Amino acid sequence: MKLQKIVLRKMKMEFKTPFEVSFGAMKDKHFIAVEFHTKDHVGYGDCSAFAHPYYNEETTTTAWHIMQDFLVPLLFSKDEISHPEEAYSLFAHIRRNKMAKAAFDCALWDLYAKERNIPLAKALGGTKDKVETGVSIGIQPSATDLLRVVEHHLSEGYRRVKIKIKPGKDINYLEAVRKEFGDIMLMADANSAYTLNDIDLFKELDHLNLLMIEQPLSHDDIVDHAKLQAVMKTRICLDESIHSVDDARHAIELGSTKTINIKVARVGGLTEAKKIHDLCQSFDIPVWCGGMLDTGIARAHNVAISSLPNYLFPGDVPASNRYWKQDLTTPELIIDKSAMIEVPQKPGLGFEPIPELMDAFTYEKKEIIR
Amino acid sequence: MRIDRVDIIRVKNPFVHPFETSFVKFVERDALIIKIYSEGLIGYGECKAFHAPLYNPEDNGTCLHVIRNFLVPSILHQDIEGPAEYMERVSFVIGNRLAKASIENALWDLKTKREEKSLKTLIGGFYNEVKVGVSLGIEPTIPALLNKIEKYLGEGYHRTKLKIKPGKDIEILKEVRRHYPDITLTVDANSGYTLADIELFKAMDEFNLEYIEQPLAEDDIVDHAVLQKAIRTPICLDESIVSVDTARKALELNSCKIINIKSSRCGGIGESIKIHDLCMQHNVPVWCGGMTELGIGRVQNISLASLPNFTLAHDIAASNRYFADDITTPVVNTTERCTLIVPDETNGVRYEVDETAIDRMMVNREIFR
Repeated sequence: MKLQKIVLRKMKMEFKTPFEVSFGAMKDKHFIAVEFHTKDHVGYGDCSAFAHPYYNEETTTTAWHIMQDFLVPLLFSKDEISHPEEAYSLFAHIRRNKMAKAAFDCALWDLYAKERNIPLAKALGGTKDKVETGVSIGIQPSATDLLRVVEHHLSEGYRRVKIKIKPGKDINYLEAVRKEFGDIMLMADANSAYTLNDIDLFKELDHLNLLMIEQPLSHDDIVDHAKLQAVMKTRICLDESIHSVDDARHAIELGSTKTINIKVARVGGLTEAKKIHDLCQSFDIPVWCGGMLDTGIARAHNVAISSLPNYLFPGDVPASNRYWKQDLTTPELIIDKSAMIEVPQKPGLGFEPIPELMDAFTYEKKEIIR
Repeated sequence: MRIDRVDIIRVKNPFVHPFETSFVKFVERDALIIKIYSEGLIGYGECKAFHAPLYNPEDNGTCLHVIRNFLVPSILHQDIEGPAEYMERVSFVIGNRLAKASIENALWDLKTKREEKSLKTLIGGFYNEVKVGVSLGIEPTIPALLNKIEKYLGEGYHRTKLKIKPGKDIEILKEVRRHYPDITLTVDANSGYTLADIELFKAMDEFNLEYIEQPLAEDDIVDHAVLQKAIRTPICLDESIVSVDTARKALELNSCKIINIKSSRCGGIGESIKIHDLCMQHNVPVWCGGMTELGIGRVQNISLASLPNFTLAHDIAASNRYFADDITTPVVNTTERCTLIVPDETNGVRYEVDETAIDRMMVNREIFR
């Protein structure tokens, strides 16, 4: 891949409905789209860092700085990049800043597949034609509200239902859903809202036969999670705690987790995601694909990586119309009646950005010509 | 106290001995000075990030953004009790500990001025003076290294730390130990190794090192536990410990027997005191690491190191080891015993910030009021 030009875009898209987060409502998705231009192709990547450092330590602004001042010069220091793995090594001494790196890694994978004229899923070693997605539901004002929302999504075809929980809105909510909808694929996401003091609560959840409980304890922990997993039957799924294949190995060694939510952005890109997938497969630990309220570009990468064989649970890869009035990419991503998404057969991402929309949603743009 | 104004001042101060890593040059200390104005008093803090994210995920670029956009708005024009309450307020910001610590340090400085007490008194410091060790980079040849060691031993340094990397480790240690069988000797591996090198570390046991610092990955405590189990030499963790919680977990897993506390890496003085206390309960000694700080950070390190469990020699040197110019009056200097006197109310040692020196080094100033 001989890069001629890199384009960085700060972009903003309005959510269909605002998201409630700890410090107010999030109305817009802020992200950075990157374009890697070679003579014949353009590869796309998406940096999912939010405007605020509340999911991890990165923000749109830190990522923009890291890309511009470190990652672009490192890439341009090589005449040619033969494989995304090469850039992965080039970036190794920049500590963390995984979301910034992920955007670059993903754009290189898209280019790599396009240059070989194969779908990205194939380039990554994917084996599935279709991948299943689930739905993730934020914390509702009451259990009754929650039941209504769940019913709506089940009618759309979603089979796996993830409920966000927090202290006071947990076991009562989950019991209500179990009672109303019986044996659906139900799981809870605790987003680090609990500590080891809540151990009895988690033991009590065992009788609900949840598919898994995601990230119950601190966002950077694998040690306390091991203590919790030892006393509960329900699978713990780690999300925020896993940033690398080494973190995954450590968590497996300690017994902290029985499945991993691999968010491509959080782990630094498809290269690392694939390594985590392979490691987990060798330990018989299933994985699945999480999302960051993604636009079409990031989601296309997610669809491709989800086609790998050990992605065994439905992912958080929702249809275009879940968050957006109009998505950034074409064709629109739709799910069929059994919540399946077809893995594209076209070269590269298979979902291409629409140029007019890319421009319309860009509020700052930087072109760096080699 | 009410916060009336915050200044972020970017300064650059040339190093006396510039150094180079595989990736960037360190020609000058590029740093952010934080100045907090409150009810007629001024508190100072220093952000310890570098100009590239090589030690941890932060650099001055990320810190500037986080301080400006998230931390300053959390305190400006507000009443705040002190550093601990500030840390609560900014707990919504994940990571970014160097950025958080810079403001936290300035709030501690304000507290000393409001209460007219030294930092040592406020935090319950114990020692009147603290011991200084020397940290030596990788030299081109062994004779060159031996010369340096000779020089610093002559100056009275209390501990000699050698940086090592694969290929430049065992042979060097053999030679140094042959010449200096009894000195207090440590090595710093700066995450240069993996568990595949376990035999190498076993072989280091014969050199009677005080500790091996951060041999494995910068965010690891699990592999370090495996390594510690296999060797007698104590492991000292640096980068891996970013909070009292990570310290607790490292002690639970037996990942180390010593911790190098760099207060900025852990989000500030408050968190460092908690780590210190936890380690003391577990009989795990600590010492104070350095980030080539300017005078403000250096003086705060000296005070922190006065806590009772800071029992090993520190990486807090005289200012002139690094800089020809500095931002305190007087500049930090060691005694003839190669120690640093901890400023307190009774011993007459007092450091003031030299505003004219800050002006000399200033590249940019942002004022929030």
